[in-house]
Amino acid sequence: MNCEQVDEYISALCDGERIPSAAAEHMGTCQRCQSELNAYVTIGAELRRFANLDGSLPLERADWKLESVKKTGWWRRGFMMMRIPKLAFAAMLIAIVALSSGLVMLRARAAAAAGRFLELEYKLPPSGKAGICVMRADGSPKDNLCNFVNHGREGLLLMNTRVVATSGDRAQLSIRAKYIAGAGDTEVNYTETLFKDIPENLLLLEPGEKQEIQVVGFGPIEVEGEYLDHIPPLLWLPQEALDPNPKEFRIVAPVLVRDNRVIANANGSSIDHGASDPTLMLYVPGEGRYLVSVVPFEGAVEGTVHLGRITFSLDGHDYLLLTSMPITISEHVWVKHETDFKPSERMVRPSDARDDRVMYLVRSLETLQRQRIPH
Amino acid sequence: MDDRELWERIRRKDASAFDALYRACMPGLHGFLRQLLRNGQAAEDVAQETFASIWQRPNGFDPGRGTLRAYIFGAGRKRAAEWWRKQKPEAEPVPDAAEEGTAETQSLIGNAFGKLSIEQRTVMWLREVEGYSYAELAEVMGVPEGTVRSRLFAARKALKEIWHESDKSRRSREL
Repeated sequence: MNCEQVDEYISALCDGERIPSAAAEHMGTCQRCQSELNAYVTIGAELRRFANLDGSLPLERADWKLESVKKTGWWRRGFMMMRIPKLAFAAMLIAIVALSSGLVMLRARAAAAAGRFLELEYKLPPSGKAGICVMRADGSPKDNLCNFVNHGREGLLLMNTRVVATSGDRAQLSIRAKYIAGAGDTEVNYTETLFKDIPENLLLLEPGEKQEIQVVGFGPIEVEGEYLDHIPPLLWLPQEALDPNPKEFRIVAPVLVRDNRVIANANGSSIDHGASDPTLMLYVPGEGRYLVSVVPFEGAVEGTVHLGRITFSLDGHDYLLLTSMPITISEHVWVKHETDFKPSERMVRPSDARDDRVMYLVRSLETLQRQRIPH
Repeated sequence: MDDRELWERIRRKDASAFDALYRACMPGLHGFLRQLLRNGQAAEDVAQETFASIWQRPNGFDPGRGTLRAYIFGAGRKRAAEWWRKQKPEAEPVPDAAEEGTAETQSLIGNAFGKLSIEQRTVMWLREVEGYSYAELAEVMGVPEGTVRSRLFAARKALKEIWHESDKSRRSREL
């Protein structure tokens, strides 16, 4: 990406909006974009200072009484407010009535072609545990496929589903699935070639209907689909609402900014649904880890939460942690920076134990403070 | 008390509930309208009219579509647009005496902000000063969130340019 393409995202970043990784990467290295970000932040601060100086209206005691309102009919009000000749209005009314049937037909066609989202549920043997995938079902190449991975105790299941075609409510799906025994802890990097050699299962699925596919070494997987009546905020977590529930702590695609400079930018999400001390651990190569918890703990400083933004100051630096969804209903968090933390020394799972890349997890504070941290 | 409950009480003509809403929103709405209308008296009148009209006919807010605060600012914005329409063409936005202020209250940023279009002033003020989310801005302005993002970007860019220009002229005058 170049500066011109990133421009609009700089403004969005000021507002705590999610920005593409490519844009964040460019901003992390481009002096001009960083100075643009600085300028926008300064303008915002100056505007708020100006608003404070601008003086507010002294509130007088208002007396809200039950007043009888003289009611005027809507047709009379409209007639009085009409600013065009009455004849022209009448002609317009006739034209609207004459065209309306045609308009209704056009709208119906447009609605049928509009983007729809298909939610698929995979029931995995032997427990019947459900995996969920959401994708567009209107033939659009964007989000028209879904990659699903299940790290089991004994192996790794990879699934790639694509909508090939739709006819009415019926969708033709292409599913490629592969089970790798003994590879439950293996890290998966999705690439176009990952599923290339896996044979394709073609399914015709109607909403509410159950279908089955066989995966060698794994067993039968039951597939069921429904169309959604809304676009979920996160395609890979369709059950998530935009606002967190009282026990949730959610980190989705975090970007950590220090003194207006991006120092970490990650994809994906990590969510805790019920711990009493949910905590984010964000590891940045060369920096150590940041612990951000909803409960106070030793050595931590207080930060402020506003929707998807957390602001805090540490060691003379101003930090901003941005995520693409509201994080928690708490208004405060406590943050600690541990510079000597290395995943290779503390993380149990081999794919987590790498010191050369950004990594984050949401777990209970107690778990993250253990000497050996499970995934 | 959440918006739904507060609105139900206002619909039942509970004056104390409405007074609470008025106290919470009036200062912000007045500040916002001052920036839109550039006229303190008009801003006060429009803000009062907005609240009076909601009190008389509390039937326009749908809690499922957004917050009560966004609804009130949206109503204020529409009344401000109506106020502009009623002005005679020759009535340019001449700031009144109270609006011009003194050297202490005037600022470069304030002057620069006044040179933005009404749409840009609206989106910038509500975002930066009132802290509105994109969803709330979309509701107040009646546009999709993507449009809010691009309008905010355009407003920031324009304000930055105007501000830097006026800062440059001030410096050259001082020399």
